[in-house]
Amino acid sequence: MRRSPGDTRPEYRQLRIYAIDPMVARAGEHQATVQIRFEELPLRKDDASKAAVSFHGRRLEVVDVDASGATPVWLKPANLDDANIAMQLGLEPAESDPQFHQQMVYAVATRTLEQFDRALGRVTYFGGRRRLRLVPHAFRGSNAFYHPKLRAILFGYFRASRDAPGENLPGQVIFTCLSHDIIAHEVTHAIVDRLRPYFNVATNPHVRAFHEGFADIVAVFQRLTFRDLVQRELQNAGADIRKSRLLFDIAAQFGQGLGSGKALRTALDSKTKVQDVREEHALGAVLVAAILEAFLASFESRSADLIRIATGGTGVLPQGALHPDLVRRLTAECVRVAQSVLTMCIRAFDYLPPADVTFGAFLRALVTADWELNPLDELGLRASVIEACRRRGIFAAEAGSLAVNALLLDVARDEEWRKHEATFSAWVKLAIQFDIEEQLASTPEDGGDFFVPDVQPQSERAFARQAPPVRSDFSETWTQDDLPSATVLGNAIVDWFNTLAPDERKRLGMLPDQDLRRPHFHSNRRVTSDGTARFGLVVQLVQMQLLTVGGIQRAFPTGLTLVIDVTGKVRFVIGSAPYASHRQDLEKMALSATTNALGWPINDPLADPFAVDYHAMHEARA
Amino acid sequence: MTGTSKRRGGAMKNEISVRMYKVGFGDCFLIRIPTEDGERRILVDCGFHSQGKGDFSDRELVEQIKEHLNGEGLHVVVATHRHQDHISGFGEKDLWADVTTEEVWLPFTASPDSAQDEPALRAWQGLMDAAASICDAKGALTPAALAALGSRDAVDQAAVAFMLWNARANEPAIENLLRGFKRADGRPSERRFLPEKGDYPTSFKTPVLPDVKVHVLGPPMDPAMRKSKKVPSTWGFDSALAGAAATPFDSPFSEDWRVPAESLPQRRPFVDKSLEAIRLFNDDLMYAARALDGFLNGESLVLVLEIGHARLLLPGDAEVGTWMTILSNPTALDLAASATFVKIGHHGSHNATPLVFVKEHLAENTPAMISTQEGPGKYRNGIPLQDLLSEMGLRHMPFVRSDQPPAAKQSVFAPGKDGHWIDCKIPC
Repeated sequence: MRRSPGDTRPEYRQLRIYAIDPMVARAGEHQATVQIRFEELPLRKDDASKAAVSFHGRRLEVVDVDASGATPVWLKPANLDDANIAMQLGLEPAESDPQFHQQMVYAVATRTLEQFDRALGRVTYFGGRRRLRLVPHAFRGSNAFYHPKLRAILFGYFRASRDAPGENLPGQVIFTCLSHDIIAHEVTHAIVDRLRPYFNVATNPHVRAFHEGFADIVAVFQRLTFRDLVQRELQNAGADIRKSRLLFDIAAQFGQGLGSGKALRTALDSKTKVQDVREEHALGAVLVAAILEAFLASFESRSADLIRIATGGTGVLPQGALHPDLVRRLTAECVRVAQSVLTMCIRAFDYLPPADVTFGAFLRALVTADWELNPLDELGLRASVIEACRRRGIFAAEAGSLAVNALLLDVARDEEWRKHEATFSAWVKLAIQFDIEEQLASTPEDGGDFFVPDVQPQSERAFARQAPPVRSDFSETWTQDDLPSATVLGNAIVDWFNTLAPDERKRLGMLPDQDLRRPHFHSNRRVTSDGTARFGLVVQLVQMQLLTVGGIQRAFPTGLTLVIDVTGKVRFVIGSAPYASHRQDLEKMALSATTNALGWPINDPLADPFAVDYHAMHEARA
Repeated sequence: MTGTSKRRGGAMKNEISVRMYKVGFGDCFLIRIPTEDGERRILVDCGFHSQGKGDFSDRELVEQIKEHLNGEGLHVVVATHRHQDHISGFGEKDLWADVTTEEVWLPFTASPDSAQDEPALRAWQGLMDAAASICDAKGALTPAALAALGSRDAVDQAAVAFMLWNARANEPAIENLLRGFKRADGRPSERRFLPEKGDYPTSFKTPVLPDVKVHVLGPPMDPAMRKSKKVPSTWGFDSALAGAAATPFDSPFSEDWRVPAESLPQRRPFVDKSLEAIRLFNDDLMYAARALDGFLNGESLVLVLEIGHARLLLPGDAEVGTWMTILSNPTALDLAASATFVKIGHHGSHNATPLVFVKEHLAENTPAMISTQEGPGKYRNGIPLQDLLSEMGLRHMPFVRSDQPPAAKQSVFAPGKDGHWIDCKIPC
């Protein structure tokens, strides 16, 4: 409702995208219109006399540079604020229009960010409030990945196989930036890197699997919230949603372009259990399958009454097309359940340990987060998730049982934590102050980036691997926040830690003799289903534990996530199992990096068995 | 002519003779088997890499084999996979014209019909043809190909040339194998594309080899295990194939969409060094060459010939995918582990023989032969693998390398004239 003639700023912006990889579905049916919060998208012009090479919003910058040739090619950035473009709901989707590609990556990335904003109840900024860059045509390759050091997501493009192109035209150029799934997947990696930087150390096989599985979950479920798409698919599949490959195949065109004839991964997988697989991608797929199964169970039970009404109790739907009203109602249910699942999975983040994540920890976090915010669980999702995880062999070993109350994280009953309530309460106030400052602060500008190329000799690196590994130095990723309250709060936390005597630290579940790493924290402010708001603070306390693994002394992150109430009471203390208890896993992982697949020792100076290498992780998937 | 052979060089009763020719970086094995109906002769591979020549040229090799056959024919010709260093000799069609063979065995991926079941195989064939276009018969890359590898240094370029020469489609040899050979009675030789349909691992007997049971442990049917699933994009080859006519770089978008160079601002979101680093992620010719190398190794036949008490394990150049399939299947693993003779895969590289197989599954004292040659460059570095040789030593496995004469005390091996071949006797 506007109050004055000059008040024309919109609330939302609508942009058209491809919801399903362009060649997989017939023309027109694979488009969707994405609604995102409006923000100005100016072209970046440091120098008025020169052209712009990027456009940006608050958190994202789209830089269309093609680095694949000997000379980089900079493409003109789209002006999405141009009236002509904006009034058509953005540029028309076209594979040959590079500015549409820019629009697409911006739209899907923003949509994904907003999912996290909404679920977590706060705006998630990237490190240092600097922008994440999206490069839609970065290099020639059948891959796309998040590059932490460059603060960018690099999308490759490639030619479909001439002889076995699948659904594509032979020799057609395929752009990974036109795949909704790939964009959402990569942006999720960037966000997870921000929320849990110490997940970049793969201290058990579930860590990498979690990265991939969680990113796939975001991609699939976000697609399931595109109403038009779901409606078409439900109509085509005769309300049996499981029959719709389009909804559940991840990055279909991408996989087909590679000549394998199949989508890259299928979320609707078999009944594989966690215990049956060891390879990390296969493990990640089990997690996706579990969450998907929970969604399907919940959707089917929610739509059971609609089917009963439509069939007069027989449960057998008529042949041919379904009544459009029925399809519309089923779509609404599907979108609602999918959104709830996605929100539930994202909210779990606040309840994850700061390092060494396992599927069991994720399950407990899921259950706890949902219980905190949705005690009633009208959609029956919690029970579905637990059951689906059980069938896939995902347990929380320390929970002892699968009852919801056993899976809930242990409330911090310890007297030890009570002693510090006053200190923690002061922290909460500082955190709220930080929130305000963050919202008011502008994005720091910088002229270039901080990337320093590896100094390995060219041939060593080039033959052993195609390109240098893409890893995050979790301690230094992006730059430090420099807002005053952040500094004050960070210092306060470290000071508090330093006042603790070693045996006090041990009683609190931390290492007695290691310094605290720079703590990560954020306020959390959520609205529960009955409408009341709760303020709180989530702090990640991390120390580095020195262990000799594979003959080399290494540092592994270990720590606690504290979920603190506004009164200073610690509601939850979430840690991970001590490394001593799964030392053998670490040894095995160290060994696997220094031996090749057939067991012979290899001499690869770049091999770090515990690193999460974003490029290699995706190379291995296709 | 086939028939019982009591001539010199023939197999003694109860003893199989395996003759490894000193071809350098390649494989060529002549196996003589005593059977109830007389001696049977199998030729497993015949080739070497042009950069790894041993004691023979292609023609000399075939002539030497013919001399050893002494007018008799072969019963089976086996081409384990289509790498040049295993088939280059088969291209000498005129020399082979008067050598008969009853059967020719090839991996199913080499069958002309294979692409129907697996369309991606056509794509791989295309890459082999492309490799032939950009790497000439002498192993030199075309100027366009070298330009395509511009960002890589000489060592990498040499490695790519090595792989591409090996992978280039050898039309005469493949033609000969698919259509060239004839049986003793004049009919075309029967072709077997292995494995034939059936539960893994398949096995069969052929009238041509009485008393012999053949087990086929590879290649696996699952394309992922053969590294066949992901066909590399053709960028790398395209720019090299197009030759001088091609522009050095071909952005998919026309000039209209680009910011002209003179309008570029001074400060840009990525500095030039970052862009160079991004370029390294290109799937260039090197990437494609390595993928093709892996694919061809992955199609290797892995055979266990069961003759009486003897089990000859012949794994071609089978790599990790095939071995994982073998190790994870109890029947296949038992068959492989029961070997009383092993031809070591891929010239003794780190990629073709699992450590655990040597350490725990193969029996001690199993004799082994490695057809290999050391050489310079990144690709040949570590061939043969010292760790593998040590491990075999620890298992008391008598082994011999084609490039070194057998130790005097190894009675199971006997060098041939001037060391041009080495014989091994396996009791059966």
